[in-house]
Amino acid sequence: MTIQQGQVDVKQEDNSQYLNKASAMEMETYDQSGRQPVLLGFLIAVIWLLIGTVLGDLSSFKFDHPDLLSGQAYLTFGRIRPAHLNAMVYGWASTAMFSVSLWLMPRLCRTRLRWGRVASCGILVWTAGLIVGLVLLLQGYSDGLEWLELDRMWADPLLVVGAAMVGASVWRTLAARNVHHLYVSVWYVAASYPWFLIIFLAGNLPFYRGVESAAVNWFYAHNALGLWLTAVNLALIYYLLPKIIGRPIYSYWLSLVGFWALALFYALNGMHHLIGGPIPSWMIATSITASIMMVIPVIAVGINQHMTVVGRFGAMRYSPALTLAVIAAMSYTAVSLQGIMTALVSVNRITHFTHWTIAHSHLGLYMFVTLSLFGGMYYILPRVLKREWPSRRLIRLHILLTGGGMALYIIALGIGGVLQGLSLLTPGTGFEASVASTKPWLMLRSISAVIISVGHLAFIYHSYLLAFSRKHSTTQLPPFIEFKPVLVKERKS
Amino acid sequence: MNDQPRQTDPAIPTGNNESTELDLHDQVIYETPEPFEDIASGPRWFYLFSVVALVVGAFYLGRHMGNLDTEAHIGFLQAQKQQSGQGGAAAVKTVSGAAVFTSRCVSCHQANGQGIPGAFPPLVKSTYVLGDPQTLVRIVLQGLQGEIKVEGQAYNGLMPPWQDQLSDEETTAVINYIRTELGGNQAGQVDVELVQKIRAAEKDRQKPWTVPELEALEKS
Amino acid sequence: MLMGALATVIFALVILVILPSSLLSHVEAPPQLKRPSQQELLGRQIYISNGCIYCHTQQVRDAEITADVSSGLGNRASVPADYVYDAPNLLGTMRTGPDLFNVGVRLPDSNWHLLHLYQPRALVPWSIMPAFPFLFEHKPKAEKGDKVLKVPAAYAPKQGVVVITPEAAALVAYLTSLRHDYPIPDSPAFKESQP
Repeated sequence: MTIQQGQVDVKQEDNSQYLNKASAMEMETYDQSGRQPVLLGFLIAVIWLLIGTVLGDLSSFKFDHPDLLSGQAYLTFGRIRPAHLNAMVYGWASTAMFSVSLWLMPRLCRTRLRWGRVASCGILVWTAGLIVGLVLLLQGYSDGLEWLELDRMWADPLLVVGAAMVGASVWRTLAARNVHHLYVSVWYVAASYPWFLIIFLAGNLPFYRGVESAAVNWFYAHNALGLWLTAVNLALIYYLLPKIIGRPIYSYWLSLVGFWALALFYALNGMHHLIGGPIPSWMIATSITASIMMVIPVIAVGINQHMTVVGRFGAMRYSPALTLAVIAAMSYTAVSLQGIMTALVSVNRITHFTHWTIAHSHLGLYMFVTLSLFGGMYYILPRVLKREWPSRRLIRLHILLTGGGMALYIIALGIGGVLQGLSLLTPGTGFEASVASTKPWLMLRSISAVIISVGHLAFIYHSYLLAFSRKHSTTQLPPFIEFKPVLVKERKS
Repeated sequence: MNDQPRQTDPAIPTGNNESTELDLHDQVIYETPEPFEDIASGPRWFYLFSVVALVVGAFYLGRHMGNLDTEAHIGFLQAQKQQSGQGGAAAVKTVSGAAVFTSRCVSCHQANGQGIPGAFPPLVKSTYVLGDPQTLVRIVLQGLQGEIKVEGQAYNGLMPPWQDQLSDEETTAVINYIRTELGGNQAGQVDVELVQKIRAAEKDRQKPWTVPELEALEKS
Repeated sequence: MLMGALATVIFALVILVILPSSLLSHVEAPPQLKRPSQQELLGRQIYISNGCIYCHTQQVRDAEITADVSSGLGNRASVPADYVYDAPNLLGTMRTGPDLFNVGVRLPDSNWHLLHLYQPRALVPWSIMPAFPFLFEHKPKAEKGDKVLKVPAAYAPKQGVVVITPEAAALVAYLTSLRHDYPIPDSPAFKESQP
């Protein structure tokens, strides 16, 4: 690249070991080295998004019309709902996260993606395992544990092998790195694969019984969120924010605190799903304490990301990836603080067992994880495909419908959940009152589900246009970046 | 191996940030520099806050953890004692027969007391409800099993005993509700003493009543 | 870094999985808790495969912090010993429907459960529970040995009869077996397991 040599500040020379400078051409080489697995993963993820959306909508409608499609066993609520969760978590989010990791690692390690074919095979094996598991689930073969429904005999081994293959590619690339300093995103991505394999294997062992099975269940389910979904998506946000606005991450030390406190405390959180329940009290107390301690990594990450973007929020107008990453980052802070609050006994006695939990999990899994992945796809796909998103209008529509729809969803179920919880806490009202108090909010949730689904359809159609329509030239500038980027702004120190 | 920035790398412009001043190639607009971390240590209050959080956490754990054993429900007893005192008092204060009926009886006998024809007998106009109060108290306390004929229709089901779940006051209230209010039923009130007496007399009974047994008792 | 990251998660694994595992292995079933029969285990499997757990809990929480006991879900909070025969656990996390820990005490009548599974709204007009007609068989005429479910006219099929399948019978056997109204087991094993 022929670029004018600008003045180099003395201060920045001091920081030079932290500077990862690279040419656009070099980045392109890295992107293309992982083209096959990255595109494969995103393609599969988008298909799962569509399937998961249909399953989720159907589950929601069944609350309003309990006799809807109840004639067939495979369409009963108790099978559709876990199918929705598994399709979204292991299908959409995890597969998209494979692609994100396989795209991030070469860039951050300054090397080609290693073992890309192994990663592609891993994604296919993972997908095969998930298909087997979901078909069995709809036929009634469930392991009976939330988040671990997929059959431990036929589906789970494939998932383990698939994730291990993608993880092998990630770690091989890390081993071949050309950088000395590891950027914070690398820590999260690299750690998340061994974490996931450990907790998934531990959660699926068949010999737990009684309340211990519940403890292991929630040890896994909470860590699947914390050490897998959260880790890779924080990595993505940590990459997108400074990259798009052209400014370094505010503080290396806060990144460090954020990472290690998350690793230490998040892993101990699981038992707060069983507050008041029949498991040994010290386990619950430990998890509540660890949940309260989560305030440290959450605030650290919050400050770090906020201070990185602060003053540049205006750039969101030009970049959908930045918009979504910022919303996702804020949602991470919000969902974590809400989670800490919900783990307190005085709040939990109201919200436990209610739709509040569902609102909370969608704040985490949608507003944080899914929006961050959408943001990632808006940024990654044009660079890998070397083609721009064709329509600014579809992007706006997508962000508006999914973000707005999910905000409505969370507010509706949050209110409904609290009303339900208060009703359940009042003895002598009968169960009818708690059902009646949720009905209008469940209806509102179904409406928001439709809005979100329309957003997904817009996104899927747009992805189709991007990938398969030949109309758009490769040289066209991104529709949202009519601007000139705001490059590194020197911080006054 | 590539720790040192290469000589050909684009410099990072500093100072005046206005991008209008930058004359950059399309491709560079597209591909901004790779992110890195500043070495700012972050606000001091955060570190202070973290230490405070750790101390609070340690105290919380120490207060609620209890013993390292399998005992459930011990950790939060001390902390919540005051609250539960109020809650318990509120529960005992007034006993509404209609409320007991709604929460315990309607799943079978239905809110209007008409039951489900062929499955669960009605309470409205039922001679078992309006007749001898002793029989009704016995049915409510110890349950009922086997064939029963109400309003000319035969039923064969199993009604659970409520003696372990309803207090004397609740039992009296719900019996009076179904005898005097439900669906236009009009029979005499029942005293709490009768419930206490029958509960004491039959406290060793393990099985629900059957109709022949009740009829035999009524005759005697 | 890898070692540190692995260390944290393994530390959590030891605290929340391995340590409780060894503590809980001392817990014994209370004498009043019956070992589930073959039919009840089949019913439990049907409970799992139809996802009852997504709306029903099977736990009575601490009476000090909730209204679980005072609203009649049980006469005491549930404890680890109540669950020794459960694998996997069915504690549940949602009370879209009522708790089922003591459903066999509250509703011992099998016919109630059968009709309620066939069409919940036949018994509970405001219910939002899905119906499970696929656990029953519609036949033009009852054959020999068929158990027929009496369904109120409003919900009955236009012609023919509703026959109870072994699956439905097993599920109901499981539900009515959920009785945990015995006193809290104060087994000495609890105390022994203290370090």
